[in-house]
Amino acid sequence: MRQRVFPATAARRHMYVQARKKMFALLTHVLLSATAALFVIPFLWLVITSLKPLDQVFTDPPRWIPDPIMWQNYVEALTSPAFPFLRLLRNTLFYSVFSTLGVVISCSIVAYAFARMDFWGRDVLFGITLSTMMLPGIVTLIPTYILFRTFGWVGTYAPLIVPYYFGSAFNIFLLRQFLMTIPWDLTDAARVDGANEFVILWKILLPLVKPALMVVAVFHFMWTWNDFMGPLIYLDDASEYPLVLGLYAFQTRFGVQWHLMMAAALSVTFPLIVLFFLAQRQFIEGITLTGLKGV
Amino acid sequence: MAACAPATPPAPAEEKPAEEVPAEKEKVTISWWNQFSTPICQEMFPRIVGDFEELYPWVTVDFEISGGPPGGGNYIEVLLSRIAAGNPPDTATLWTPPVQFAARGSLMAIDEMMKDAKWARPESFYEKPLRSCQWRGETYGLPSSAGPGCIFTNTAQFEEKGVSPNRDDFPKTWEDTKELSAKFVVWEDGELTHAGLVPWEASWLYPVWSGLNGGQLFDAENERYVLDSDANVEWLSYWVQWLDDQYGGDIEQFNLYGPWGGVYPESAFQLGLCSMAQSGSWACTDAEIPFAWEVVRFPVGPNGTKSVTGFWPNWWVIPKGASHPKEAFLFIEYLCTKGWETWYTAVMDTPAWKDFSPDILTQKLVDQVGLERAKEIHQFFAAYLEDAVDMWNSPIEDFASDTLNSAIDEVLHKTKTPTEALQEAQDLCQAKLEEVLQSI
Amino acid sequence: MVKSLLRRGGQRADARPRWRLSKRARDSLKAYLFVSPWIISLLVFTAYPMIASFYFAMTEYTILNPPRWVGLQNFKVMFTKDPLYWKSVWNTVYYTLFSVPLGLIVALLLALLLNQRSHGIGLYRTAYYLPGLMPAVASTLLWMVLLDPRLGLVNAALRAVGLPPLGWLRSATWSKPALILMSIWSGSGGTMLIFLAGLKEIPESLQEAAKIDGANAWQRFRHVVLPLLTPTIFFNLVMGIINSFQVFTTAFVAGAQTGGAGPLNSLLMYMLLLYRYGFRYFNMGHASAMALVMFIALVLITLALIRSSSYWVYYEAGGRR
Repeated sequence: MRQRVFPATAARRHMYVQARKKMFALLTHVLLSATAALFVIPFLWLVITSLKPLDQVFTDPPRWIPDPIMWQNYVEALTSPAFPFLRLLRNTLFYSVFSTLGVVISCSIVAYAFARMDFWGRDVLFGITLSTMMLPGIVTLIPTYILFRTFGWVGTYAPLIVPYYFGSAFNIFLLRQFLMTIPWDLTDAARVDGANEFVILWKILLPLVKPALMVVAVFHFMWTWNDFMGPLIYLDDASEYPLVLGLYAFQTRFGVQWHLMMAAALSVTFPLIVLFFLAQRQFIEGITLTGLKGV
Repeated sequence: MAACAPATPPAPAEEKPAEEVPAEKEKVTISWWNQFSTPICQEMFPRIVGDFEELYPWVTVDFEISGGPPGGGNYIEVLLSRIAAGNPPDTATLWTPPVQFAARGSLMAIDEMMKDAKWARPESFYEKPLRSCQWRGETYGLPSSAGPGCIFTNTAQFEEKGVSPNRDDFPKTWEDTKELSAKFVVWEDGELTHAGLVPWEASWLYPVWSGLNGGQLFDAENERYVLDSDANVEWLSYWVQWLDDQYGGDIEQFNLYGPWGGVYPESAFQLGLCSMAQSGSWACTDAEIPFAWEVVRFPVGPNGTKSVTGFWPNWWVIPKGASHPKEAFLFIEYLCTKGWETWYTAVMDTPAWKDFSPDILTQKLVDQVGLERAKEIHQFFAAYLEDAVDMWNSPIEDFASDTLNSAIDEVLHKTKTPTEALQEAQDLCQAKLEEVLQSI
Repeated sequence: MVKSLLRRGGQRADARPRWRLSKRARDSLKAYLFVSPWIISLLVFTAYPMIASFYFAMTEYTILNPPRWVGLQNFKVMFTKDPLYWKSVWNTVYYTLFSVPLGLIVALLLALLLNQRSHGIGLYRTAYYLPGLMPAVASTLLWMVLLDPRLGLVNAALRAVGLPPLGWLRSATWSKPALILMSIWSGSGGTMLIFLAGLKEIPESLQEAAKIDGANAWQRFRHVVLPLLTPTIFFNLVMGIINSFQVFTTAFVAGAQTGGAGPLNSLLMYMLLLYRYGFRYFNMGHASAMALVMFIALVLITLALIRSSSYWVYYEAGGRR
């Protein structure tokens, strides 16, 4: 039976649908903003505290506007002899960039094998990989230290960078999960065409898991940026310390110099924020929007 | 004010020629690890070390004042790793009781070197602080400061209530102190807004409170724990009674209105919400209390006889395996004796060294209260330190502290009676002690 | 070409030389080539420390002196003579039971909300990830300020809406919830990012097809998105449990300021107790024993999860594995 569609009704229905869409978008925005606020407010508090004089950090009721606004906290923190910002920054960049490079390369290769190849002992090896994350660093600390000492690597950045060129359990696990979501037909087709494994990995799979690679790189970079245990143990020389170790200069036996510590912490975090903001755009732009058509 | 204490190093007053350097003496570099980091440390320690290097020109000290090897709580981990791997620093300043290290054979005994020392002879130190570095008759380190604990009072608030703020008029017994405290307690709408004295606020002073009631926590002579003695049970019961009588009986509610402890900025004492608080001599200048205050001795418990105090030193040790023990000893000796005089001009950390010049005073204190009063306060602490109890001298010190703190926490939360809690703590500590003593 | 390399002179071309490997074996060799860096890492950097700590678990080891064999003594003491051991287990289980599911749900919701290409979405994403960028010590200290019962923002907010202020880190009942709150705040960002990456993997074409077939948003989510997201969920679940079992820094920093391990040891997490034994009580043997027990527990839990994964995790690559 033919439906009789009157132009007026259709128009109204269209308007109705449009309104629904707009409301939905609005709702989403409200939700996003509200949750974002919840996440950001503590951070905002950090910023505000970093601009306060020490005696206004804890007040009742809590102060929102520092008076006076102590921009000099940043100067004081960043020029404090115990916190040589530029040198710390240089060290941190060196450590983070090189270890991230290693991680991305090595974990892609290893995860590919776990995800797309069938070999003897694969599942056992994967299980062992996971299990390495289950033993806390505290108990492996001393033997690991002795190990690196035997290599003669203590006092250098080697223990913090070299191992990552051979893989990292967390990232292998992550990339494996993503690589396993790509349909076999794609790679089978490529194999039929005569491509060898490396080509398959490099030309086909990696571009498809770009978001995951991005995540690996970003995560690892940020993790090393904030990692203090590693540098703490292996670095002897203050001139080699990364940024995070410097933060401890503001924590004393009798209390924390809150205002300076927050200013320093923010200075340490700020580059990461910028990096992240830039990187997450890559997520959107680097993706094949249409996905895998038909197959 | 003509005889104002110098804020500069005391070198001119004590002319000490630099050690003659035998021609063949090679240059030596020693490393010094510490956890100091505050601006005052950053200012003072390089000066003191500089003075030391002048005195002993063939020695250079490799150090930094950065809270490190950085990490606050991670200092110990790195230090232990180093000792385990055999490459420890030559000297270290410990904030963890050294007897634990000494009993396990990782520190160097310095008795021989102390015998012929210039300043650091055994008799030159206060007895109890030095004992905190000793294990089974041998000395394994030197204490540099032994700031005694005491009670700080807000004299203005005392006068308001018609109570004499003079030190000699402060109550001598727990009972009298409790009565005094009651005068200051204020409840408004079911909320505690003002407190008198909160006896349990300073966990490092627990051995003192035990001593004030004639008890003890660790019997070093016999290498035994004596936590569950009647005196100690009485002590904790007294505290529970105090909590019930004055502070509402519910420790968690009480803590919610807090924090009540200490005398530093943001503490209830400094905010004027608490009239008496416990701390140590260093707080006289370090805490920057903005109003008039007095320091008094602890009152004595029903079973006690003498007003005792405690101390919280910096310990300076030489790990086993240090490459230049002789120079290391010279360093720690200087830092704990003459060098500390320089430190004292900046921070009122009562030295553990008895031959300390009485003319050296903390400048800040003099500025605050005048020369006479500064001298008088200095004397108060120097005299009080003679009445210190034994502290920090157990090979399982940290385990025992944690266990005791847990126990007292339970008692105050009323989940265990004093007898139960102390009995359990006693069993645990004694067992652990025996286990460790067996394997040493 | 491979065939020609293996052919012996004089033999028929299609004869099988004795040393030709099966396909599986050949594939295995290739695969091992790919996996070799990781195997090297395991052997060189991981094997010794892991085996060493398993060994330490059976010894009395003060770090300052060489280890001394004691067999299962550490385990006996741990299970029967240490009143705080079971407390720490309970604290950690409680923490895990709440923080992992809550963390996953929050992160998933955020990822769904953020899976758009709209203008300014990048700002939101950065906002949620912000907490994860701070060093753990700094963020814990920050939260301690926020959670101060008298002066903190959180209680001020509670009071503003008429709710009673809570003790948070000063209360035996509320200290763990405080920790859970902190972990959701700082951990959601990372988990959300992984979910986002997972969502991006889901081809729009599938969702479009579903839409055309008349599925509404919820149905699309339930039948298209969720199943394809299961590999990511699996990852986040496993990592979440592994990490929350090992929570340490927040508990350490928060507990230190309030007298050790929180009121009535409510913040005494398993790792905190382990740390104490290792670095405070000079009992690294006992600490290693605790670590071994936790290791076994995690292995068992992960095995169970992996087993179960064949029922609910869907890898599009050729169906279930």
